[in-house]
Amino acid sequence: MRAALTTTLLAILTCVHAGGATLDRDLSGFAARFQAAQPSENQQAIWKLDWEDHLSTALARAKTERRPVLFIHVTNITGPSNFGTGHC
Amino acid sequence: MRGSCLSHTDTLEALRGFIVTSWSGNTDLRDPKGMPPEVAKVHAAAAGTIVKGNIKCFILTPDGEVEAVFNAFPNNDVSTFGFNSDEAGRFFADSVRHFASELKIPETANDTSRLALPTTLQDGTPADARLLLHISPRSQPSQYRAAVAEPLRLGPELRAALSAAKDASRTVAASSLAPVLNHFYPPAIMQNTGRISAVSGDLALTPIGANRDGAWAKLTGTATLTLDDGADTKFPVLVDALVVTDAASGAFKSVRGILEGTCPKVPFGNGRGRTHQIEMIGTFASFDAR
Repeated sequence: MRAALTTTLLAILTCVHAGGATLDRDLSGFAARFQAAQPSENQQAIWKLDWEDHLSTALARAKTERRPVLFIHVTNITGPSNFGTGHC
Repeated sequence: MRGSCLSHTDTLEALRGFIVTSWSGNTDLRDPKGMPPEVAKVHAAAAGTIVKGNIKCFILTPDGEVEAVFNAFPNNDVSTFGFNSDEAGRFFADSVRHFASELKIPETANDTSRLALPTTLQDGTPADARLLLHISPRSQPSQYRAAVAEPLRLGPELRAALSAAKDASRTVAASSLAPVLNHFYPPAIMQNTGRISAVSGDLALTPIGANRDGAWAKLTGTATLTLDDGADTKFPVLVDALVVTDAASGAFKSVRGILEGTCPKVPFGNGRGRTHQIEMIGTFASFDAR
């Protein structure tokens, strides 16, 4: 009886461990694919600039921090034109 | 301009002390169509300076005075350098240095060694997630060199659709993922709005186990996106995502995923010319995702 219980318990633990190992493998496999799909640092270089979403907040910060502002006005009025996010 | 001028190493250095911002809209002050008052004020102040073209650059002093206004490209012609991004970038950086030469700029104002991706929505509220999208080098003309980083609001419908991920496998409408998929389109389409107008198809939500972070499930399949380009062009997008829900309550906790799709840019207007296949790769992650 004790031997049977031990065998059953071992079988359950093995299944749980195998399930955990499978999940870990799935997660690490996904993490590798996710990392590989990221844009390069060069493709993200534009966010090394100090962006503000709106001219009003940029001007408020400029006054406080005594910094100049580069303001880009795009006259595309049909589609998305957000230089800060990139859909333009 | 984002990939050539604004991403160039010389420009990053020239703009080191600057705060950068943009606005898009009609430039006609007699018919401003929602132009914010601060933008109108800048245009009024620069009224004596004529700069043609659809991208106008203003250098403003810390007190908001117009120091200079210029076009990003010489003679207002984007093709001046034969679409050579290095030359365009150096020209732009030289322009900034020239027009800002009289300004006193704090040298340590901005750390250009660090990426600061957008984290807030246009209304200023914190985003729930962010999509990073870039174009495969195989189909990358100059205007697509810089990535897109779109802050996202996930919304209650997505959270509800992806809850209880520990339960049996089920089908989820791809439209549930619209808060993410609506932003999976190339920049610079320039045909109609160029945005996604519809999301269709089904995805499979499949439990894969649980750990101390919660119950995990895979969200996989193909969504079909419709582009508002004047031809309602449809293209498939492969979705490969992981969802985490609370193991006890089933409440949605986080999602992150990979998107792959090729968007055909069809000839506009008379239909002449070749279709340009734009291969896109995207990753998205909710900000609480592990």
